[in-house]
Formats: sequence, C-alpha cells, structure tokens
Amino acid sequence: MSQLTSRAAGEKRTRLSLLQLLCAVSLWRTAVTQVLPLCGASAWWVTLACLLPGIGTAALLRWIMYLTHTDTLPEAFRAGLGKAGMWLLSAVLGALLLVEGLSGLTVLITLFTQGVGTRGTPFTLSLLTGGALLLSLHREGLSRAVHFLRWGMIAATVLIAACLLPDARLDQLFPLYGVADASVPEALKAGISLAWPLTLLLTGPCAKGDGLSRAVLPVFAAPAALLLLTLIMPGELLTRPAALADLLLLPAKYAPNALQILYLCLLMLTMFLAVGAAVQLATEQLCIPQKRCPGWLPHAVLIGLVLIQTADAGTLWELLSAVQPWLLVPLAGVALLCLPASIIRRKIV
Amino acid sequence: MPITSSIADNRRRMDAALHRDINPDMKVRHFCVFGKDASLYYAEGLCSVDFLQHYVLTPLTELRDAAVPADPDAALREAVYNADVQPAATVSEAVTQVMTGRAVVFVDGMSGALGFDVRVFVRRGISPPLTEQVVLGPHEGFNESLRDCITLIRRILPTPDLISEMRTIGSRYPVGMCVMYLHGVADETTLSRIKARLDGIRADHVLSVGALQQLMEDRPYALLPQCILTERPDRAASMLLEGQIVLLLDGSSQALVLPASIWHLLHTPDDTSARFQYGTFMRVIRLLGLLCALLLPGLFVAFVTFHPEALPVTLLTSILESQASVPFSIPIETLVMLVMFNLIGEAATRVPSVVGSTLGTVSGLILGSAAVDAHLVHPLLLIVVAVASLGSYAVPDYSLGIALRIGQLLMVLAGSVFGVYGMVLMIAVGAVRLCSLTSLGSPFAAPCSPPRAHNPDGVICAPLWMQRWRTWLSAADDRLRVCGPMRRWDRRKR
Repeated sequence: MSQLTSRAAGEKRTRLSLLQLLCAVSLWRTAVTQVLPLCGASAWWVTLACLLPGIGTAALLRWIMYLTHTDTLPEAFRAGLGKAGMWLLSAVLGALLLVEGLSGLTVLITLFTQGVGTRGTPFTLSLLTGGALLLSLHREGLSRAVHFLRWGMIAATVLIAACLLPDARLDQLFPLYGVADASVPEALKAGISLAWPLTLLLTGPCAKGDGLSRAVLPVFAAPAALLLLTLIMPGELLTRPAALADLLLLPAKYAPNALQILYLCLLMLTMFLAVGAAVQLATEQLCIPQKRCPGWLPHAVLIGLVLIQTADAGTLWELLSAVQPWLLVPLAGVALLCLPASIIRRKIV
Repeated sequence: MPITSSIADNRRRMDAALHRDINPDMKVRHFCVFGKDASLYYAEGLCSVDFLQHYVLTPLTELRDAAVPADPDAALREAVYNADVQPAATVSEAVTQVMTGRAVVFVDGMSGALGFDVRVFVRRGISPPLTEQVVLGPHEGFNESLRDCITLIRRILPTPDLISEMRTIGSRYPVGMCVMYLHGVADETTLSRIKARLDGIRADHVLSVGALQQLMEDRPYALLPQCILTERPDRAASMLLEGQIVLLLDGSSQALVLPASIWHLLHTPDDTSARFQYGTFMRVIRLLGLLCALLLPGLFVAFVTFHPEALPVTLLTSILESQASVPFSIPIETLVMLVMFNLIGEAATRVPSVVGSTLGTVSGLILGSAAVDAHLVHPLLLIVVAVASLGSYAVPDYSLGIALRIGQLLMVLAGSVFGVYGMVLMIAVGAVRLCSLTSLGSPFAAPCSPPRAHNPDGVICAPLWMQRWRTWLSAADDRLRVCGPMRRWDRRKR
C-alpha cells in the first residue's frame, strides 16, 4: 500500500469512528428518552425493530449509488438529479444533523444542570459547554480524538456492563412483549426514526468494503444495554414517567455510586463528542455543493445552537421530541425522488 | 565587499570590521610571503597559537621567493598544502572565518584571502546526560561542541548514508548547525519541509536548540512540545534509523529531533535496552504515573467536593474529621500544595546538584509534615499530591513533564468548579487538542490516531525481532528493516 493510500485509509478509519460514535449516542439517547419510558421491558427489541426503516432507507440509497456507479451519496444524487439533487441531499442531511446536534446539546445541558447538579445556571453552563465545544471543533482533531479515546470508552462501557451483570435475572426478560404492552405501538411510532444516523453510517464512504459488518457493531450497543437493563430492573421501574435528566440517569439509578459516576462521565463524554461530530458533519454536508467549507462555519453554527439553548429547555425538548419521529421521512423522500431518475439513467447508459 | 589585491585596503577594511581599535581579542600578525606584505588575522582563544606557528606561519614564510598567486585558488594549487583551507572572496566571509576560529591570510597582490583551520575550542568532555539517565543503555551525552556531537552519532552509525549537512542559522550573528539524516530512510518531503522552515527563520541569532524548537514547531501556542529534545547520541541515532531528522546546534548540548509523536515523548532508551517484558512493564508503570499526575489531584478534589457519596464511608469520615481542623477548602489546599511541590522541584533544579536532591527530600518531608502538624493541609491530600508529583517526574521528557504539571493544575481547577464532569469536558477538549496537533505535518497522536502501519511498540514493547518495520515517518520505499526473520537460527514456528 502506498504512503498516500495508507494515510487516506487511516483518516477514513477516524471518520468512521466519528460516525459510529454519533450513531451509537443518538440511538441510545432516543431509545432511553423516547422508547424506554413507553414500553419498558420491550424497549430492547422495539429499538431493534426501529432500526429496520433506517436499514431499508440505507439499502435504497446504496442501490441508487450502485445504479449511478458512484461511491458517495452526493455523487449519486448529482448523477441522478443533477446539481439540484446534490443541493437537496446536502440540505436534508445538513438539517438532520443540525437537529441531531441541537438535541444532543439540549440533553447535555439538561444533564449538566438538572441531572448532576453542577453549580451554575443553564445559561452559564450553556456558555461553558459551548466554549468547550468551540475549542474542540477541529476538522481532523475531533475525529482523531474519538478514535483515540475509543478504547477508553469501550472499556468504561464494558466495566459498567460487567458490574451490572451479576444483578441480572433472566425471569425479568419475559414476557418479551413487555409490561406496558399497550404502549408498544406508540414506542414504535416514537422511535421509528431513531435509525436515521445508521443510514448515514451505512451509506458513508467509510463503510464500504469488508469493514461494513464491523462498522455497524456500535449500533447494537443501545439494544444490548437496554436488554441488560431489562434483566436487572423490573419493568414498572423502567416505565415511570420522569423528567428528561432522570430518564438519562435511569440506567445507573440503582447501581453503586461509583458506577453511577462512571456512567455519567461516559454519557457526558460521548454526548459532548457527538454534539461536536453532528455540528461538524452538518457544516460539511451543507458545504458539499460549494466544495469548500469556510473554517468559521462550524463555529458559527455551534454558536447558533448554543444561543437556542437560552430558550426554555422543557419547551425545546418537547419540540424536538415532536420532530424526532419524522426525521427519516425527508431522507427516504429524497431517496425515492432520486431512484426513478437513477433507473432511467442506468437504462440510457 | 570583495577583497581587493591591495593589502592596505584589505587591512583597513578588516580592522574596521573587526573593531580592532577597541577589540583587543582580534589579533593581526604582519609578515612577508612571496616577497610581498601579508597579514594574518585571527581571534585569540578560538585558535591554537601553536598550530598557527607551526602549520601556517612557518610554511608560509618559507615561500618568500615564490611568485605571488593571482587568487586563492591558484595559491591552493601551487603553494599551500594544508588540508583544510577555505578561500574567502569578500571581507564578510573573511570576518566569518575569523569568528569561527580560522586564521585568515591576506597577501598583497592576491585578490582574495585564505582561511586556515587552526580551531581549538574550550569544551566540556563527554559526560552522562543530566535529564535522560538510564540504567541499561550507554551513559554518553552530547556536549556543546557541534563537531563532538556529530562524531558521537557517527560512531554509532558508521555509514556514508548518514548525511550531516552543515549550515548556519541567524541572520545577523550566525551560528553553525547541522541537519543529520539517513539518506534513503528519511522522508524527502519531511526533509525539504525542515529545510524550508530553517530557511524561513528570520532571527538575528539562535541561542539554543530550545529556541530553535520554538521557531520551528507547527503550533507554538500548544501546551505540548511537538519535537523531541535529547541529550543522548544513542537516542538520536535510533530516531535517525526510524527516518526522523536530527538538528544539532553549535553551543547546545541537545539535539532536536523531528517529526515526533506523543509516543516518542513517553519512550526511553531503557525500554529497548531491557528485555521486552521489562520494557513493557516500565512503560505501563510510566503511563500509570502520567495518568496519576494528570488526574489524581483533580479527582480527589472533585470527589470530596461534589461526589462524596462515591467514596468509601471510612475514607470519607477520615477526610471530614481532619478537614474540620483545616482552615482552607480542599481545592485551595490542593492548589497550594501543588504549587509548593513545583516550587520545591524548581528550587532543587537551580541549586548545585550535590545539594539539590537533599534539598528536595528535606523540604518535601519537613514542609509536608509541618503543614500537616499545623493543620494547614489534609494528610491524605499530601499523599495524593506526592503521588501525582512522582508521576509527573516519571515522564521521561522534561518538556512533557512541565506540560503535565500545567495540565494537572487545570484539571484541579475544572474539578473544583464543575466536579468530575468539568474534568470530563477538560479530557475531551484535551484529547481533541492533542489529536489536532501535528509535528512537521505528521499527526502527533499517530500511529494510534489516525491509525498508521507501525510496529507493536506503543504501550506494549514487543520483542525486538517482531519490530521489523520503520515508523510511518520514514521514506515509504524503505520501511522494512530486514527481509526475513531477525532470528534466522530460531526454527520455532512463530
């Protein structure tokens, strides 16, 4: 392998780590805050089921790439729908990533202020988190840092799981349908779009070739963790109505104190990095048609997201929760729009 | 200003350039050669008077009756047989030669001058390195003589592929320096990048390798050093073998090696001199020391202040009981203690070496126990700060050790204000900043992130015979150190 190819492969792997983190954090956040309170013990398989539409959309998008003989989505849309198609795709993906970043930031600051009771008002903590994120928005640095910290994050996850596992009781697994069975359809509806980052992961340039199966492994962390929760906590405890911060803290609520702190640290670290990833990827997507991204743009976008946090967190979260189930729709929509054009183009060629 | 054939003109210019009227160190000796007037200029102390007498003046005065050569080249061909003679065409060249210890001869009728090598410098002998001591490796360190430093490396790598390009740096008061690399092993792009940076330095003078480092680093504002400073010829040689480039500066007893990665700053020559099991063990201990130094004081403050519920009850009770008699809060105590330990370290470095270690031990023990007895600090805090300080001194690179101690203070501040979560934010920002650094364009956290092909030689020090590849910093077409197994006699299937 030549030096340039090896370097490019290295950078691709770091980008893949960034996408994997974004995907895993987004899935966990949606699963814990949207799916778990509705269906309790069934959350693990409902989450798995909710991945299917994302996989379907990814398959559709990869088919378009295959039909247009291209390696990346923007190229595929450019081939199928022309420049307008590329603009449309970048706008949709950019908007989705911005919503993702906004959700992540809201959750992070809520966790900061209400979950762990750190000193400071939401405004000052928003400024602090925003300031730290501004320092972290480095194009290569962020993805490399995620790749650098991956073993630490995996080790912490495994440690938490290993500490919780002795309390697992198999009898709590059944019935599979869960305790709050009436809410399962509602949970499916709420979580139907949670897999849209998976679509991004499956169609990303990094996920090509033999690494695909390994690339999607972190996606299964959320269902696995929910399954573990089901085994250690009774369904009634899982489905109690609670505030956003309490929902996020629920998985470690009955764990020893040290483990709770480890879980919180891991949650905050991954969420912090995922927000940075969402902002960075969003600006990159928005800049694809122009072919160059001004260095100040990610910082400007982030400042915008931080300023939105000055609004009431509860209202903001309600709004974001309402938007959440529809996130996959625009992506599937543009895919369906591009598909006929790609088929026609292939027939002409 | 070119040297003319008139000796009177040349004398006047040289006297003016060397400020001879007020500078008695600049000596001149007038004599006769080729039947014409001649002048020999030299700087007292930089050259040997014996050499001047025997190898310059005596042979030249014997040429009294020969014809005057038209220029220095003709003189070199026909009359002068010394091994190292450099012609000078301008007065500034002649002055530079005088200032570097050569004796410059002007002859009436010859348009040019001859610089004879009669240099003898006062220099220190080869002594053990002060900041990079090892148990198993060699105990030689560089000294301040550029020539000696080059010789020490050449002795380890006696190959014509070891190139030492001599050049000067500093626009007004130039100083000699050497760019050393292994031809074919060092990456050409990196080499040209280094040369471009050296050419781009516009400093009047460069005092030390440390100053050169600041002028050459990619990110001078970053907390972490992005080059390696080493006093050890064996370490410099091992890095040359990895395709890195070594810069030596006259008057500095350290070599600057670049590009570098964070792992280079954490490795010591002992790791490879010792058996691989011991090397790995030492590295793991060192890494633990680093983590302790960076995180332990901050974690202590954060847990006691914000998350006491996570501590064992007996420990918490003990802390709270002794805390009742201490007038300061834990964060203030910790910051004061850390500053005090740094102060002891700094003072021990500045005092003579015989007293230094005693001063460090005595002040640490006496001040620590006195502070505990006077109920100024918590006893557990003393242990935490001592372990953290030990950890920071276990880091082999001096600059990294200082960076670590600054990071330690930042972590304590973050832990004091926002608890463990502040520290998590600090770790995330620190990791991003670390990974965004480059050393001469090469990622600083490589080969870990971004991944690069490398030997198993990061935290784990794999057996030497498994380290068959040079680092990612070397030229792409010469990565493999040896073809086939290193232990050819070993027939066990590996």
